[in-house]
Amino acid sequence: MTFLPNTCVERLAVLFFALVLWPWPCPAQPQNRTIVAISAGGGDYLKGAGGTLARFIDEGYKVYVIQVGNDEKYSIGMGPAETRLANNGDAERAAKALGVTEIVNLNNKTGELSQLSSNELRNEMSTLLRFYKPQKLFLPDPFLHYEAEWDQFWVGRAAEETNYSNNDVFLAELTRIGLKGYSVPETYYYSVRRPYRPGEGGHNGARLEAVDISKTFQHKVDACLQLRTTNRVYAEHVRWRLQLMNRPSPLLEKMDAAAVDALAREWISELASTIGAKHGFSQGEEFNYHGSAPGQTQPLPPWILERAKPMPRKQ
Amino acid sequence: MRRRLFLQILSASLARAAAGKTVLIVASDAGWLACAGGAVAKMTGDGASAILVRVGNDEKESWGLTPEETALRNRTEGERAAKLLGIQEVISFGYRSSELRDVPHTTMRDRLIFLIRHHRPAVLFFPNPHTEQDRNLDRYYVGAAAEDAWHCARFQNYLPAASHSGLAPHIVSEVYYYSPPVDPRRREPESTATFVPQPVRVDIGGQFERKLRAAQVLRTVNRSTAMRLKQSLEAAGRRLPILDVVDESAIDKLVEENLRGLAAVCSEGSGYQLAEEFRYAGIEYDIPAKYLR
Repeated sequence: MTFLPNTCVERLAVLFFALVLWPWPCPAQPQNRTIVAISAGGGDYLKGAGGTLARFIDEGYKVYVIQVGNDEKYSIGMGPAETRLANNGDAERAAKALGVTEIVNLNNKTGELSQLSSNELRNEMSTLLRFYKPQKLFLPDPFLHYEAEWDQFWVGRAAEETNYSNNDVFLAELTRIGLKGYSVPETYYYSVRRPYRPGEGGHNGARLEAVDISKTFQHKVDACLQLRTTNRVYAEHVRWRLQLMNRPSPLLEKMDAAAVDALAREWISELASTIGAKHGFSQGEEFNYHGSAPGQTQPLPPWILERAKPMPRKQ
Repeated sequence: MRRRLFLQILSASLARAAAGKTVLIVASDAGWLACAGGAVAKMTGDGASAILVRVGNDEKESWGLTPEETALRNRTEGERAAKLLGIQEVISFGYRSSELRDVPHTTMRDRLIFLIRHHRPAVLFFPNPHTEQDRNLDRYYVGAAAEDAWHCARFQNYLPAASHSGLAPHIVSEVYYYSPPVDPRRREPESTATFVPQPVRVDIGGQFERKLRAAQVLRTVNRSTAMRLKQSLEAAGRRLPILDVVDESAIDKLVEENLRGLAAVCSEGSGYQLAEEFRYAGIEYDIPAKYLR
């Protein structure tokens, strides 16, 4: 006996079964348009990657920032607690100006990050990566030379480790409560205060990625100018150094908000144009990039393929 | 009020910097003398005063002596060598050489910040922690702490107790990173002077003899070097004629050969006969070019 849908109800039931319950092949999972940027201080990710993040935000990505240090050291004439509050307020405003969705502040003592267990720091980052499941991760490059602020190194080292040690075997307690291991598909190592060295980046599966930020440069500047407390310290230090060397600049004779902003803008601009000049842009940012963009897979390296045997065919 | 205090501090700093004080932060005596002794002699010869901070105690650099005796002899000889180069004062932290990994980075850094704020130098020398292929990790740990100290000494919220006691923040205007010339890419600028310290060569032709005499004072280290070299050569079935008899004159000759060879390598392509190589961060570093015009 053959079942034929005769009534309207029967036809609808067949249609429902066909559309909803039938095991159609699943379409590819939509790409998670989420980015996590790890930053030693509240403004470091902006200086190193602000223009690129702004581009991704324009494309519809949500950016979450993990700020590791509390920025309590960087001010003129304020104690640590006051400095922390001022810098954190600045960082919030700067993030908002760029379009960042949220800053998670781990509130460790800036300048003392070498005292922090790198495993502990790594695990905090791993927890957040499992929670956000980003498509892209931005982290300070721990391999760069002449980064005089060593917090970048301590943060970058832990951040890099989280990227390859976040499977289910790590942090079993998180796995147990449902925060399963997560591997970020794409990683961008950024440099906070300098262009990459010629020839740097691109070993093994990595490559040096230059990004044209000409269209988002002003956006980056607007965000960085919100970092008023640290920008002021920088300006005071520049003026101090110029005086020490008997080369005072007329541009810093009057140290008001306009002079501080102008100096910060000039520094950001010189960094962007120095990088851009290497790659044919007017303004650029550089990254050591590792991973696979959506829809791409990493080819297996030849030293694995040469020993790999074909799978036996199932009978 | 605080603003006025900052300006007073700044004025005091300017006055001291004019005196041209140099602070050298070193892991070991033989290392800094070989890499930077000529440049330091040049500065002290031009009237700068200099302070040497020995972080490691050099307790392992001897032949047939106990660590305690080795450390004491090397300290005495290091101080004599420093004096020959015009250094006024030597401060020894006394950390065990080759065990510096066990000294917390912030502990070493904060002691160096204290000294930077106390002496308020215009020029700083320290080992380059970014150089590649230098097998001596003591230089790496000391260089990392010293570079961090250079950066942090300018912020009042580091070492608040010291700040409160009158040791105000200080910026060192010029920094020389030193290292043995083993990094094959050591002469590449990496980027512009605004963003990274630049490679520089210093002509030490006029200071070489003084550097050599100072290095020859390090008798304990030099004897150890000579004996180990002789031992290695013998193990490989070879000999170096000047070391057939390892006496003071042979050791002095070996030191001279080493330093001349090193100075010649550093001078290659520079037009100098004898030189030393550094990475230098001066006025251009971290200041936009527009502000220097």
